[in-house]
Amino acid sequence: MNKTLVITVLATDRPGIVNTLSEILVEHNANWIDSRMANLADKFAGLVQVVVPEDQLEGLKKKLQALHLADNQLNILMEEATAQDNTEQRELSLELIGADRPGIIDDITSTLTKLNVNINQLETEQREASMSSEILFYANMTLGLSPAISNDDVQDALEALQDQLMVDINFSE
Amino acid sequence: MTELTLSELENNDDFIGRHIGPRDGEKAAMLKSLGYDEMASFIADVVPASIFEAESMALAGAQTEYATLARMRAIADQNVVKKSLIGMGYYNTITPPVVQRNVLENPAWYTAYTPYQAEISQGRLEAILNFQTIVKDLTGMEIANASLLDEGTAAAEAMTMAQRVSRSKATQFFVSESCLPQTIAVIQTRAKPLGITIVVGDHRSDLIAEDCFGALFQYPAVDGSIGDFREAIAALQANKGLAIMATDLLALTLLTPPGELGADIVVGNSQRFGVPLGYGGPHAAFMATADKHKRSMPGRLIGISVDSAGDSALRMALQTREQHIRREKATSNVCTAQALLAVMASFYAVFHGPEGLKRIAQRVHRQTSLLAKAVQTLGFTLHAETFFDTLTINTGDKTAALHSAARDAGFNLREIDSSTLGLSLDETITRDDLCELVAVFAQGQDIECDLDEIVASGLPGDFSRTSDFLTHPVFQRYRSETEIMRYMRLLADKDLALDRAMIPLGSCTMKLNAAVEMMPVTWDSFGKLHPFVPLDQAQGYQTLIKELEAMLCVCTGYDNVSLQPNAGSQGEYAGLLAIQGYHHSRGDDQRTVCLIPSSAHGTNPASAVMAGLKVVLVECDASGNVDLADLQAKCELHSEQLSSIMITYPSTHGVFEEQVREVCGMVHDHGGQVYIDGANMNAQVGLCAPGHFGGDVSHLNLHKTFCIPHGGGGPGVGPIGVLAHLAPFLPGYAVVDADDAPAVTGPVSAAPWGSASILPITWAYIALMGSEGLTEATRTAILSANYMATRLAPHYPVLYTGRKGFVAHECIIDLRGIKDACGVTVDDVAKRLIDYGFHAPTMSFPVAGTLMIEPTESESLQEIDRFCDAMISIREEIQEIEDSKIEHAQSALHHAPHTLKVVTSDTWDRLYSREQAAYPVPSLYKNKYWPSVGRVDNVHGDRHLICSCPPVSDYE
Repeated sequence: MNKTLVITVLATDRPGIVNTLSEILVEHNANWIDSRMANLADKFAGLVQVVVPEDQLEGLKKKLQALHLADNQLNILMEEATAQDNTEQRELSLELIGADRPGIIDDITSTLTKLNVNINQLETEQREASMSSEILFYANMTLGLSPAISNDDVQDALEALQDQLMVDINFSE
Repeated sequence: MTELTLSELENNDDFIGRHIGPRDGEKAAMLKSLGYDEMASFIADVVPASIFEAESMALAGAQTEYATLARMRAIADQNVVKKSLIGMGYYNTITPPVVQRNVLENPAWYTAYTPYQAEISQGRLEAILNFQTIVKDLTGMEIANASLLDEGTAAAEAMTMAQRVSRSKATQFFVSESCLPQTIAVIQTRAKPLGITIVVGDHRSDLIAEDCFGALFQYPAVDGSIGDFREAIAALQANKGLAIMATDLLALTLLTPPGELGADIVVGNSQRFGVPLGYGGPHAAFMATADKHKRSMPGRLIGISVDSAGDSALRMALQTREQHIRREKATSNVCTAQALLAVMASFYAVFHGPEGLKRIAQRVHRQTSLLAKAVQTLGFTLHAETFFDTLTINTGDKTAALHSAARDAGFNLREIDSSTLGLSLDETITRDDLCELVAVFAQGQDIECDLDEIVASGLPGDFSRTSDFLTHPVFQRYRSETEIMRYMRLLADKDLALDRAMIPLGSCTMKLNAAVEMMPVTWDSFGKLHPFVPLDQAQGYQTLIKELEAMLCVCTGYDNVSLQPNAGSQGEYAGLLAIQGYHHSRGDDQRTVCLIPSSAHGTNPASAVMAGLKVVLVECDASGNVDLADLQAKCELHSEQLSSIMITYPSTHGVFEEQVREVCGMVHDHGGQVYIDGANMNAQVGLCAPGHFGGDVSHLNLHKTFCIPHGGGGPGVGPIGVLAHLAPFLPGYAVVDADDAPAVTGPVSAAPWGSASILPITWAYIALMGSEGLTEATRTAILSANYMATRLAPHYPVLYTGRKGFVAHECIIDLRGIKDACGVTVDDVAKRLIDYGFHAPTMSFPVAGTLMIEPTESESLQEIDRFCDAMISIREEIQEIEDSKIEHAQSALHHAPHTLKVVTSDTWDRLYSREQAAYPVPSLYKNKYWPSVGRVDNVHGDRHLICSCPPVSDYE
């Protein structure tokens, strides 16, 4: 039986972090399924989903924990997860642009939570607008929608926010 | 003593030194600071040898202002000014003298830039807010924008907006056959590359609501009738479609507004509110819609916010809709619109007030009713029972004779066909005019002309307007001329335009708009011509147009020019349509990929999408130039589908890319066409020509390189130049039948020659400067930019340079390092420049976190040095923050701009002095500009969106 583990890594960025991680995974016959990695303010931040044979799970967790304790520039968290059955869910990809302000992500995510929408991926960025240099908020998100929610529902909910966000729906499956 | 020749005494070159700022001795000093003894060797080191042309342009020599005006007068006198009652969306109007003298002819209004810097633009922002309020009120809708280019393109924009907004999956758009013919033509052109099917017909029988995502109706119709579209609108909306109504602002003072009839979007032209006919333009078109659709509305939008002191302040709202943000996702490429004309129309309404406008409308309608009765008494029948100002008359076999008699009496009527004619009355019609018209129709028959008799109204009873409009106090208050003159002055004084200081906006080319160039614009012989008059009455314009086209061909190296597009964005669009027309004619319909550098102006990808093209971005290399390896790869990848590349030259980074011929060659090798964006033409005129180094088509911005004033955000003129192989695909003409009209692509503007009445400005500039003057202007523009870059380089990194470390006519300074080091932003520097009496350079375009500076050739060395001194002083202020002598949040930079109110307040708790705030350098004591508001809160403005005049309580 295979087990799914989601690992998060936060470290002062330096060469070799991913490599260190993947060596440990290979030792334990773990499969690297999916990941997101970013360099934010000179920190390496990574999310990795791995699938590992049940008999290797404890060994893997101990090795990762040891790494976490040994290196004070590196923080690792891990949690077991059940591989999701998302066949019921429809993926919706959209982009948002609006004037940046404190709390904007909070408002967007709580709006989506109220609709029971899953946020599968979220990338955000602040950028100076050309010509006026207003700080704009850009977000790319992939949402998981149950059949009861339509694209229009999501767009309407986000546009109802006072921020006058521009919502572009890119695709949905 | 050496005697001067008569020629030298005549001094025909005089204007060159009026247009160009630095004196000869100053230019020599500037060259010296760059290490050169003379201009020619400097220019030879800046402009790539592979494209430099040593030969002078084949243009006449410079002329004096006096001689140019005389020549212009001779041309204008070839126009025949009759009273044109042709209607079709264009009507005679009376520009209130106070508006003509204090706005149209006032450089404080016409030399202003688009109001991106809200703190120094509160004057025109308020005038445009008034415009939005007027449109919103009269149309009965919830929100109106700050103008569009003309009624035809406004209707086309409404169509694509409807498509974005409508949740319908239909691909048809219905257009009522009673819409203005030029509107129908422009819509058909716009729909084609987007795969939208246009159905033109009678809304009562041909509109199948389930098949359409939207429909356009005209109210009143082109034949004058006032239709009832309510059923059609309801059916459309029941199928998730949107209803668009094109309408007339004067008629709406008497008729039920479209908002009360269920319209989703309303468009039209505000020309008859005091803006001259001008042989087709410029005029401010309008668009209004429901609040819930505002995100999809094109054009600029003025909104109310607050400033740093909590006081009310205006700004451009929801810029996230526009092309400079959305780029290839934009549904509209509109950038420059018609700001100056919107301001004029808004003052017309302020001048007349709601009762005055209603009175004008009633008088026009009464005159039309009298005429209707008279022609019916004479035995003619009317096409329709209802009318406001327009009659369509069945004149049978008398039609030709009537047109002829009318012309002899001084009137142009509307030629419809061999048995019908039309006429539209307007604000300028007198009692004498009416009697003469009756006499024309009487053709010798005896008929009394009793203008005081009671006649039946032609307005349908159930469409009589009951709702109020223009109730805001601004439309009541300024009724005496003294009051309105002072209101105009108050607003003008709030703004920083070229009449006060340099506006060093990169890529905007804010150069001198000379008085002599502006004067002919208000001559009757240019202003009073209707765009659809018989060509033999417009020979003055035709001469001017042909001469100007030839001049622009010489300047650009192209073979043919179209003056039709009303803005650079529209020129881009027309140019891409020409390219696609060319590919189509060769059976290459699969060529739909357009390569665009990531540094391109936002209108480029937006226009490409409008032309039905797929945008593929090309990377820039580390020096900011088009990455040739990436270009090669993309050309190969898309070789079969390659339509075109859109490049800007010099680049948007302000550099003469050495490899431009290679770039063009690569694209040509793969079967693509080269579009060269002409926004940076000010670095080229007389030194190199896009038509010679690889361009197939370029647009020009006459409101940049060629002296048409920026007007606060329009008017603009964006003509395109093409090589001969693209000439057959230039935009065609709506309504006007001309032998040499292009016959493949449809029209892109409602009027065949676009905003014809401002073309004299460019003609005059070229005639005044002559070949050598234009070339010297270009050299000086490049010299000034490099001089500034050199003075600023020790203080701010110059981001990109070309060969030998030189820039073209603009330079980019990089503030990102400063932001990382101490938090000072581009915004802070821009706002602090206001305290120093300057408009900021272009912000964060094409690279976020930078300023792009373009002095132009018109600025004197004193003003250029004043700007550099200000930037250096600001750098010292930044250094204090970096050295921790003051925190960013406490600094003058953070609190800029400083208003008089803040500086003279009894409370001053800042860590810097009032003097430092307001007079950071001593020269300001002699000449100080005060912003009327502090830094405007943009977030607040978008979160609490208000786009019309606020309630009276806000003023108390």
